[in-house]
Amino acid sequence: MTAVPPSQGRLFDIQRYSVSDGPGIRTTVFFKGCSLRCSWCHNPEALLSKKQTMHCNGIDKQVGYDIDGLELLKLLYRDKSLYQKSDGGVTFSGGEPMLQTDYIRSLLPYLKRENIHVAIDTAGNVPSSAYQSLSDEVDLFLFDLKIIDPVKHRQHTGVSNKQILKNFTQLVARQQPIELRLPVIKGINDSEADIKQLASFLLSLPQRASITELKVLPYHAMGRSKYQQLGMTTAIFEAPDTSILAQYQQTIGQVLDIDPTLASSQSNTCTGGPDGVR
Amino acid sequence: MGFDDFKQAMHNEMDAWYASYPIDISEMTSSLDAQISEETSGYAMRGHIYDVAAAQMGVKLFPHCPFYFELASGRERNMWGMEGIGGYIKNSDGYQCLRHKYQSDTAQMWDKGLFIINDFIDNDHHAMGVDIILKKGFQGILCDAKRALRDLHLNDEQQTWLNTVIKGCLCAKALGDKFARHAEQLLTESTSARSSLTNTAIGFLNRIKDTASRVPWQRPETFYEAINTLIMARELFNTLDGVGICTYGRLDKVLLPYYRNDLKHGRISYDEAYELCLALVSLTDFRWDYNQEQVETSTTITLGGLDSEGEVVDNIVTEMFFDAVVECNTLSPKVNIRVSSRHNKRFFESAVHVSRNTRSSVSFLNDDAIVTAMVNAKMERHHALNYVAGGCQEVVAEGAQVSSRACWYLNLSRILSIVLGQDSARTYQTLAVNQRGAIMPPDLNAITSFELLYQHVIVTLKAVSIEFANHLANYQRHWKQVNPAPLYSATLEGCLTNAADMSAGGARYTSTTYATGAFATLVDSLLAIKEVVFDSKQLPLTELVEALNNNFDNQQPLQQQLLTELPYYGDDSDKSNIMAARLLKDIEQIQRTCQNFAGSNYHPAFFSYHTNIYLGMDTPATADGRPAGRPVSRSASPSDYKGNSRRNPATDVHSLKYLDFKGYPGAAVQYMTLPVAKEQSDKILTAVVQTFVENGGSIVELQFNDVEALKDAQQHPEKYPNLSVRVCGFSAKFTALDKTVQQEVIERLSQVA
Repeated sequence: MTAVPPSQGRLFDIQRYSVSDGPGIRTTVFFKGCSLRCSWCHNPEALLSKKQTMHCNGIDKQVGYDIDGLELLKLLYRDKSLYQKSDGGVTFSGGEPMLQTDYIRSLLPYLKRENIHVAIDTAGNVPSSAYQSLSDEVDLFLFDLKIIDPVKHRQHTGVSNKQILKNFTQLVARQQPIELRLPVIKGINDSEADIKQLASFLLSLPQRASITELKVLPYHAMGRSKYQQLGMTTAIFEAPDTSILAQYQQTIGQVLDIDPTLASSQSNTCTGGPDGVR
Repeated sequence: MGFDDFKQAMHNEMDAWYASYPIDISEMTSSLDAQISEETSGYAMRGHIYDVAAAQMGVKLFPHCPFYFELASGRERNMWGMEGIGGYIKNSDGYQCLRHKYQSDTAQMWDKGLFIINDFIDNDHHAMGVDIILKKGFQGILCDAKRALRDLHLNDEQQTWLNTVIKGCLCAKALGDKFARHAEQLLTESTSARSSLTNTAIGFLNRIKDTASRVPWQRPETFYEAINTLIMARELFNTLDGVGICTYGRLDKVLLPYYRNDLKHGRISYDEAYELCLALVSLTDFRWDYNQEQVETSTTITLGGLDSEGEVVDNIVTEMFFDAVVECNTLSPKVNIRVSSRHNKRFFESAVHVSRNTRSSVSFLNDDAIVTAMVNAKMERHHALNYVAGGCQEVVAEGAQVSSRACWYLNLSRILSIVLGQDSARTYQTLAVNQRGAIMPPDLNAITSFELLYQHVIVTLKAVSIEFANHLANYQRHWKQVNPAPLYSATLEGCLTNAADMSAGGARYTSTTYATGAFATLVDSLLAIKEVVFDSKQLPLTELVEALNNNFDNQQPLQQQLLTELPYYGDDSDKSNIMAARLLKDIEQIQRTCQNFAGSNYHPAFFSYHTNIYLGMDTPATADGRPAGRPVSRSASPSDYKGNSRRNPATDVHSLKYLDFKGYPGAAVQYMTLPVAKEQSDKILTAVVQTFVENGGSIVELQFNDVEALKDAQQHPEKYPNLSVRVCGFSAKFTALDKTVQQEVIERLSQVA
């Protein structure tokens, strides 16, 4: 008997025909609320779990809404044919989707019953139990690693990376399929030392073969206007030099023995983000 | 020897020849002037043209082109059926006076922006009866004409027509002989020391010398002869009959038996056949000059689909043409790929690969929807199964149907403008005089519910459609006098047995369609009015109309709300899907009730070309938030100008589940603009096209370009001499496009960038 999904999820967007958040054509569900405060974040509307108002072109828009599980499933089912034909599926992203695991857990049986591939795009800063409760039914984790140096991590994201690295290590140890995503921002994590530290960390993981994809995500400024619309301020960031991106790709690709992908500006993960607000 | 060895020489020879245009044809026109008077019937005039061409017209061979086809007819380089000897009748006073009268009548009847009309006859977008030509040759057609003369009870007009067909066939024979003699002459000259002919050219000329007298007079026997038959037949019709034939038809379906037979007899290798395919594809491009302003793709080919027995066409010749189109990567030919639920994934992947890797325009035509719609329109299944695109995407049953279209474009969004009282008195007078729109213009205060408004739209659309169709039919009745095409007609089922030209309704099917566009602009406007006027009662209809009339001056928040906050067709919301489905059904039923000059019901269709830009220029602001003068939406596509992110290929194809295009035998074109990104892989786009077919779409063209490159090309055209874009069913050099069209392409691409 599968659980009925009665609960409400708190989202800020749903993006269909997402082709950058996992394999194939996907519907990406963006959960509201995040446990990191990355200074370069391009989804500032995703940070707080509470509903907010954005002022856009003279019109006030509410950001954040609650959606019933059945209603969400109905929408996710719409593109079943596209998922199947493109080896795509559904991606839960955010914000941090792992902050709403009860809701996601209630949806999973319904998605699995329809043979829909499920990916979770996570930044990792949640209790380990959250992953343990879901990992059997999740086909792929898109795991963002930002900075390995603990001091720099706290400085730029507001939190320690200890729990993040622990969760990543445990997922790798369980040989959970993982796509490793590396947002790269000039002046934040684009030094050779950053690359070396990341390489060392990955080399320390004996089961790293479960990392099947590597995506290097250069910073872009597409989400900057949203800060203003939310009445927030942000510092100015820049895209990294292409030579550093190449170095990231080459070094980390070699460590993982996989061919890395350089994501385009459409990627929706931490450096990108949907521009539609419901 | 390979294609690369002669490609450049072939291109140079063709360029040099066409640079010498216009050709002096005064001798031929003088002969015609001497024989033709105001009393001469259209058929007799055409007969004189055939005679004069047979006796006096020169032929041109390009030594490094394996094919023979070019006639010194005076036809311009970038023209199909106009100009030159074939355009003699069309350029006569009789036709031109009628045409001008038709245009001026139409302008008197309607405000600008409701219709764009070019002509009362569709002289282009036709498809020749390929099967008949290949099966019988012109000799066989001549025999059939003689048989009809002998066996049928005929009036004078019918006898004249059949005798003209015979003259046309004899003209084809005479011109074939001229090609053979010309080849022989060039070969004789090649023995002189000064000859620059290569061995390749000598080989080609020898083959032409041995073939041209036989083919297309007689039926072709080989792969080479079959291809040349199609090229020659097309040129004959374009040049002599004054009709624009831009399609070679279903090349893979018709050429396969010749290829197999040649292989069986050891007459051809795969490489030799592929080389001919490359030459044919290139020929279509070299024949045209794309550097001239507003030049669109010249030629269409159709590949894939189901054959007359309903079996999948996906063979070695299909692959050859797929590969040739990608290898040539030219602007021409347009490639119309017929797909169906019966085609396998590999076929879809190959087709999508072609779409992504050629500059040419590639459309996917869904047999499941189109064939069913044609059958629903009472066409026989085997005819429907043999449809091709007679132009960009104008479907027509090859060899059986004459479909007039793409010369009169209807802007649906203007129907709502009429209802809202935004038109001038002339429109209302036209409708009132003819008692079709007794409530014109309606009292806005009396429209107290959305249902009432919707009914006004439907009644008005019906009144406008029928009025326009009747007016058009009155002019179309003159077709057989002002531009008959007996030789071409004789290749169509029905014409010989009826002893009647296609312009007189002789073919098995004579249909007309409206090239209808702005569907999304109308749906979105109705959705917006329903929401803000009737559901939320945010403002009364009169105030909304006032805002529209003032082009949203000082009403930017309202305009922004209309543009971005409300449901719209393509967002896949329940509201928009229900509205679109309802309107689609009603438009179908209205168009179906219109009748053409031959007494046949119209074939409902959606098709815009790029008239959406020009129709939009004369359209006031619309309730979907679109400001006055901006383009209206294209064809049956969702609007490209809504400016938010709720629409994407997934919502587009899912919305189709609610729409029934099986009542649209003229097909309904959708365009899908996609960002250029490496994530748009063959696999992803294959899934999109397959789901488009599965969900019942009719025709889709995928369009992708780097918007930044286009913007740069506007500033620095010299840097982008070869940058091409898919406009609307055709490709063009971006820098050769009209600035307005350039801007429209950039705007819609910016929406997805």
